[in-house]
Amino acid sequence: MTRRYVQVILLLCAVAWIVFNFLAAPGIVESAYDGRSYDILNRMISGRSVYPVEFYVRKWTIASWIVLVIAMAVLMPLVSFTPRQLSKAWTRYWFRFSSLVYLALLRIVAVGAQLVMLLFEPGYSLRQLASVASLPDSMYHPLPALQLFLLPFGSDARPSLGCLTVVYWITAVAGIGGLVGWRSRFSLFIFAAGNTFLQAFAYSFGDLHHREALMIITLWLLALSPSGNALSLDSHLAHRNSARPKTVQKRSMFAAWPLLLVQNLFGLVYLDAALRKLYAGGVEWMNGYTLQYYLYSDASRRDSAFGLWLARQHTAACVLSWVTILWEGTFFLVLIFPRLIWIYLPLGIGLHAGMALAGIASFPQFIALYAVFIPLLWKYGGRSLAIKCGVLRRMLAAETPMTNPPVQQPVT
Amino acid sequence: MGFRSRRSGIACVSVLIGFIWAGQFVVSIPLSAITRGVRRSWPIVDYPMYHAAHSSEEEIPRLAVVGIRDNSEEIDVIPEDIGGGYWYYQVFANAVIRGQKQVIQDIVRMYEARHKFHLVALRVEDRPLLWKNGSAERVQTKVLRGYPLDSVPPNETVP
Repeated sequence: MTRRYVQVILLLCAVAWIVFNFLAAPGIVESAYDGRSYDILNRMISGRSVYPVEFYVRKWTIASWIVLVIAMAVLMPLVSFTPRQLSKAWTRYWFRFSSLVYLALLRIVAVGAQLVMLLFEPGYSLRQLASVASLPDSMYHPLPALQLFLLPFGSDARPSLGCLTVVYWITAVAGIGGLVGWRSRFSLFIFAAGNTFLQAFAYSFGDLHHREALMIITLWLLALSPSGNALSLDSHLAHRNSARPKTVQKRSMFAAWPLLLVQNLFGLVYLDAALRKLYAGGVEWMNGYTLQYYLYSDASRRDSAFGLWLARQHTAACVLSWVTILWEGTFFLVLIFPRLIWIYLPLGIGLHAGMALAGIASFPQFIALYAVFIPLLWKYGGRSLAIKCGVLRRMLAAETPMTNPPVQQPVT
Repeated sequence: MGFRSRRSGIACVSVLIGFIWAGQFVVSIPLSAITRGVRRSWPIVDYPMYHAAHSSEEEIPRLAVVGIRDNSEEIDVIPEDIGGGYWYYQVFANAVIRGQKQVIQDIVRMYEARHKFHLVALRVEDRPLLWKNGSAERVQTKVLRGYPLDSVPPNETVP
């Protein structure tokens, strides 16, 4: 009964917050903008000469909705369930038994993609590393991620080009080990550490981009999980003379969490990207001119004929702007309604590939990391498609783990 | 795996999941309302790329750094002269705009050693393109900052 009272009070608070935001908040923001409110509120508005009052009202509106959603998402479960129930739900979501094959596939795709980029993409080459290493000390402000590695040498220590070259080649060798699954955990740790070290160094000179971040996190997750226990040289060597189940049939309660975590992170980073656009420009961001502006700006710098052509198509730019915002802002729905993956994933690949072709920022790592959604694709349509097409008939008839419950299932 | 080690495994992994998830959540959602450019926590960062809205007939800024030699000859300093490429060149151009003496001196020293001549001043220009009716046209160059080198103290913003 007490629990029910708390829930009702919480809901009333939410309603009061919404009413406050509709009726009182805009007036308060306007008076603070004009400098007529309390001193502390007046001082919170710093860019009066740059932004109109509508900018701050919109910012407040979005921020207040976020606060409400976060508060309800955190407090509602706390008042609705006992700690024991919450703990059980947590374990059931993150530590469900799952096939190791999905995790191994992620290892192969993610490590393979990162290794190819490390070895063959000019932006990650030794030559580029040497070029960055030639920048002066006065530009060098090491990221904390790099400082962790260099702690024994002092917080501002700077690795030499020789050191970077050694790390580069050790990382590449470890990547091959991680890819084929030879001494998997050790190889994956070295590969994750090497990539983190090299990228953190490159980003310690005032310039930072986003495309590697999720890949770096994923490489660490792969090193910390049993991703080398299937489809690997290690598992092959361990089971060649054994009567135990084949590695593709192995399941583990620690096989699902890295996939689920990266799926969740995808939802968060795409939502972040959409919210930033809405904060800064609101619906103006979808006027078509914004996308045309960015297309022209980047395509002209990178000499992309497709980008320059697309920059002249206003209607296409309007449509693509709306698609981008809707897709980014609602990508997290895939976590709740897994069947949506058949819409969101092809769209995501199309958008990222289109951006790369048009000369806007390319995110090949993100496309590789879409491998975390393989379990959803398999369960929600992929398996029946494979049966229809007669693919993997033998494997399916033998009830291999591909028929196991997927990684993604709603938590009940 | 024994029951006890499985439980401790779950506990350790739960802490890790909580740390990464909460870190990314805080950076992406609540912090997005009040700030942008969360970088120090890399690889847990925010994603504000291409966030600003634009309209037609807007200028696309293009920063350029010009080096002035002792014989008054003017030479464009290009990204290849700096090292690292385009983005580091932007960092340098902004350092000149902000008058970051040490960065400017170091880069200029490097540039002079490579090209075997002496620079007496730098100038940062914006050579914008006006984006209008689906095409871009060059408009007047704006001088953002002049920066005398050597012992002369840096001047203020050039109008």
